[in-house]
Amino acid sequence: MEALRGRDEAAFADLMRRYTAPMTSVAMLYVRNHAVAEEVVQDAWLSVVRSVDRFEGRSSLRTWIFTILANCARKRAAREGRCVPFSSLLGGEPLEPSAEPDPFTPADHPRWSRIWTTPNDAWDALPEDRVLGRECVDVVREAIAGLPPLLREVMTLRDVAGWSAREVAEALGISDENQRVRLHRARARVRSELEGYLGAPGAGA
Amino acid sequence: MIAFKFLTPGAVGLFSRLSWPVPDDGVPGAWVEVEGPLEVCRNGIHACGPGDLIDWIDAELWRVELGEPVMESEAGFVASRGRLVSRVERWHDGAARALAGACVLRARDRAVEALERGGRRAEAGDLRRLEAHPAIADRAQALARGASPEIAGQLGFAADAVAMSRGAMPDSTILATLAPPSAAAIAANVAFTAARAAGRAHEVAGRAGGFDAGYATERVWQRDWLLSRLDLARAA
Amino acid sequence: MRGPPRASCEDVVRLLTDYQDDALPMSERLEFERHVAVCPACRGYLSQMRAVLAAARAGCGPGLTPADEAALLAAFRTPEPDAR
Repeated sequence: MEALRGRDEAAFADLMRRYTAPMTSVAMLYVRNHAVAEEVVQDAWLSVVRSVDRFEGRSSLRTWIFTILANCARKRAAREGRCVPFSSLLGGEPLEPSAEPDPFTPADHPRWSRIWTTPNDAWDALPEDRVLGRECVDVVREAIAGLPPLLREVMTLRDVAGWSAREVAEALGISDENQRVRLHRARARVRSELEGYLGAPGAGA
Repeated sequence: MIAFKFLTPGAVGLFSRLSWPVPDDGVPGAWVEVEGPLEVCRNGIHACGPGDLIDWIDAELWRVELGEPVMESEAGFVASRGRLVSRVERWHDGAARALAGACVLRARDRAVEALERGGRRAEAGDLRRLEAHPAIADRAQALARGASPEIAGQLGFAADAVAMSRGAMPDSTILATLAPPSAAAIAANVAFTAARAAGRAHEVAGRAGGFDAGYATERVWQRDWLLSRLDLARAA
Repeated sequence: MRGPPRASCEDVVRLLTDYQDDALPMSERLEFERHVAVCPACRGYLSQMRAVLAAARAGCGPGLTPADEAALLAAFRTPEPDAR
């Protein structure tokens, strides 16, 4: 932080390289397309540059930067007449119970209560380019984009932007428990989308 | 001290996903160290004595040197640092398949005993003579139809053990298709199933300690099988 | 010898996020791990979830173009006074 106030260019460049990508993902929570998200991130960086002298160090540098980003994104979204997902949290709308088919044996199974009814392929045994190849990354990105806003924002912040559980709960003003429930649901849905893409067990590779 | 540690293929920790430095030409791998206070299943190098290996079966078995101090817990040994010293060469996919095969026969024997207790001696004798897995599964399923819940349950475990030894789930013929489980993961599962079968048999027969005692007794049999196979009995 | 692991596959799925967030008490962590060690289907599930997280992270938006980065660095050198 001192390096930034002292106008240390290398420190600022390092910050930009580390945060720009996650900031773009977060901006995508608010605006409709990638090009606009990139503009929002640029606005946010300019804003950071202008106000760095006013940063008081009461929050972490990262939280501060992402707060600025959120403000820029909200303004932009409002201008575009798009509803802002974070504001939906204030109402605390309840999470819908998930309606996925039950993948486990019945609790009163004579030998195996609540175990998987079909095996799960070991994806870590697949060649790396299969799971981390462009197509899978795109499937996951699309799956996250298709989540309901309450789930999407938590998964984007945690798993795309790399925030900690605490940071996300604080930023969204939700309890740790609620943060985990949302993250859990979001990840489960994205996993089942990727499973559908890679081929469900028994469906052939 | 020297302890043991199972790792997934490529000397990678199942839970930590840590890729362990492996020994080279007899020289132990580099030390792996953790920071901060040791906590079971959370922070520390985890390893176990030969007697606890059966709970953690995996693809590769290594001797690991733990730096002092070593904490002993219900999950085995936990230390701040450890390094791989040598691989237990006797543990490989063939040994894993042999363990799974032995456990299928143990689960079959529990079903045979259940039939005998139910007075169905001829059928018990027939089942006892079967060695081939598909034949065991087919016969067990056929005999289970119309049997009492006690006998059907025990026959069910025998059929489950066969299904699991080929990577399927109970009551299901679907197999994992993209990437099946390793021979070791299957062996761990079949051994667990045979121990549950023994637990059930113990419980149904009304013996002391119920399910858990039967389960534990079978785990002891499996442990001894493993130590004998790996020639580690003296280390235990 | 210990008794059987107490967790079911459903428990593993239910506890996975807490497990990964280090939010489980020790006894539950141990039961979770003991179950996974003997359950290929849960090992598969765990590997699938790891793949999802790796792909999610790899799908993080692109960085700045060199031109944008240069422009921001220039602004950093000689900041305009904040309009607010």
